[in-house]
Amino acid sequence: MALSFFLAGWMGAEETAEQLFCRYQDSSNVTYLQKLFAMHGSDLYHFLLQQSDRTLAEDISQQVWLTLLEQPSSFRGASSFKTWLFSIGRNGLIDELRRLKRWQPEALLDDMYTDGHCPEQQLSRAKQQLQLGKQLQLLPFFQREALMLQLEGFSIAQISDITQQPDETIKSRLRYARQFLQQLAGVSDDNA
Amino acid sequence: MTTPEQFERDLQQQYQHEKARHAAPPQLSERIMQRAKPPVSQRWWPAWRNMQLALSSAFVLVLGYLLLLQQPSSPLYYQIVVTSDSQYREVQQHRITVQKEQALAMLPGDASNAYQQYVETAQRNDAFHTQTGLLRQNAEQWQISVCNDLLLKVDRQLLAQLNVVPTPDDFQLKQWVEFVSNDAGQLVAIRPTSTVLQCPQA
Repeated sequence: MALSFFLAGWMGAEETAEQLFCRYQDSSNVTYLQKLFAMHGSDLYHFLLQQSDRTLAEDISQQVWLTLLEQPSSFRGASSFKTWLFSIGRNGLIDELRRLKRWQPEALLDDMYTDGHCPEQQLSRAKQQLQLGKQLQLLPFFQREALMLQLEGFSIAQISDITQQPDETIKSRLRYARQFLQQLAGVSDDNA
Repeated sequence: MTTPEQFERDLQQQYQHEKARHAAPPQLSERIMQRAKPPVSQRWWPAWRNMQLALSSAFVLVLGYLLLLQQPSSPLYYQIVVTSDSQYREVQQHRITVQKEQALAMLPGDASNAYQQYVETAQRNDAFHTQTGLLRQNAEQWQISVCNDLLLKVDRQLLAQLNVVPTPDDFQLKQWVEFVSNDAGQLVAIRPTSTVLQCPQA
């Protein structure tokens, strides 16, 4: 493993986030931090943005990266760097939403089904009016979270790690999220 | 109708498209990098600390060297030990010693000063005594005998301190010399002479 690490460096192969973090930790060279941010900064920001708004996404992103600067030992390497980053970001976001009394993870789903129209009508309207990206916003917080993390490339186990939920819960959330979006997209039931 | 496979592809494409549209704002990165950079004073601190360490070390070394130079070496004393034996009425051992007892301090340049004083005042000062004797050299010392009255034994270390003209190496192993003493009995100068001392027959 050490040999592959040195060979990777010698061959000029792209450094992993974990390698960059170690180098930053050892040298405090901001260049490594810049590379880390270029690698995952926008991923995290986008995830937080989809779950909140621009201001909150910026604030939480900044908090997460400052946590990295001020408490570098908080990343112990138990998970991948990206998993750790999203985990800290996700917890920070929920804490902040609670503090702002905006923590209503099921609100969107409830509203969607209780505004006086039947779900079919709602779906039909959404299908007509919204693009796929916007449709994500119609999902409940946790379903959207699970789906976005999966689209971000995390495995079920990693999503479970980030959200501190059992695998089965994650799988259920993903299933429900997909069913909803498939209905909006008009996916054939025969093929589903 | 859209197939599930097509749906997944669309979903992934849409997600990547959305992410590209909503990249992290540049000012966010700038703020974080700004916080990551240590303050200017802090950045200079390691260099300043190293410089202080280097200067302190250099100072200690120089101080130690100066103290070593300043450390007084053991003072030397001109010692004359007077004895007698069956052949000579008086035998004087002239040497340099570090023992203070029964010796006079011999500061650097003392011998030169005394010689200069002798040269300048020899004609009118009774403080200097000139005698003639026969010099014999051996490895450790010179011996100058004045008939049977006096034998001077002068060690080589003392000779190095005296004004011996010409240099001790130019003296023959046995020759007549004139030697000058001050009123304390210390040798001030030794020089060759053509005068031969006529000793009374014992």
